[in-house]
Amino acid sequence: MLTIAGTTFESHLLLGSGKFQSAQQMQQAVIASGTELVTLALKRLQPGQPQDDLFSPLKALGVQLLPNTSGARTAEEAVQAALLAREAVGTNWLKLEIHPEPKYLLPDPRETLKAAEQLCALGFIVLPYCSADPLHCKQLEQAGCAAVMPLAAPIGSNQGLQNRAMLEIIIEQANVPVIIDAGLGAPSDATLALELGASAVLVNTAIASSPDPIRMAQAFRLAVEAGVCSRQAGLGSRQNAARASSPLEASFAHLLAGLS
Amino acid sequence: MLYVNQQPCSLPARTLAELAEALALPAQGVALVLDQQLLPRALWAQTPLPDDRDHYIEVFQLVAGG
Repeated sequence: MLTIAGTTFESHLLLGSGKFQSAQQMQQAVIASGTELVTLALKRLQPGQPQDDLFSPLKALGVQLLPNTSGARTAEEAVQAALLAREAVGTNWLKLEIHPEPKYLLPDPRETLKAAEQLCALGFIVLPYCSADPLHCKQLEQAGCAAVMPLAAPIGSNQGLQNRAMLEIIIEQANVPVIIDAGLGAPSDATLALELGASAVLVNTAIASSPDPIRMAQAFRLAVEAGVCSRQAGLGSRQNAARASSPLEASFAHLLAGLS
Repeated sequence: MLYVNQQPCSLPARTLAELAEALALPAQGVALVLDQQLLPRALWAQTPLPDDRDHYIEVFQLVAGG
């Protein structure tokens, strides 16, 4: 069970809705993934180019919508985007993301913390996409964020848990859910993240960019479930030398001697 | 004159609700800013767009995103 700001979810997988080939494919991936939290963005409408209505079909699937502040380059812009998102979606849940430079889309820690403080004061449930910096994550937690969402690797890079050592410290120190966001490339990355103690993972590109996104969504669902089970069960300890899994006492040497 | 997302708009609309209908905006997942003020959907029907001056409307809609 994943609990964020008092709301519980069965699934430990959050799904981003971007980059799918069609709205229908995205909805099928939502179903296959078993997710209960789906991120969306807000865009200035181009006159004469109406967008698909994503709101109604996703609500019909019973998932909770998590609007993001993508496109915001400063704290001030993020707060404006949050107010628009709250009006458009009718929720005070928010994925805060501020990444001003386009090549690596790394979150701006100073602006993210500043926006988080303001948005928490305004009553938002803030889930910030943030640097994999333990000190920064602790500051976001102290600002009132409902979770922290440090990146495994740059957004959409499919590189996996490149920030593993720092993520382990973040998980060890956190008193709010740690949701590994961005950069996970394979279902096995998600399993590892949960085995390390992450509360959940947020995946988009790894699923949407697969040749078969719906099958990959299912793979991530199974991988996340495996990671949760594995974490609950506890891993056996690692050893340098072998330890036999079968009894070695029943030596067959005397049998061979007798048969010869 | 009305300006919708910085484009001149000649759609006939006496209120914000009529403009939203003329733009065929979906019933949910939309936010409107009128002259730099965010207006909740509940107020659209009672928000006039008098033609004695220009109005600048920004329309935002939910789209797919990660």
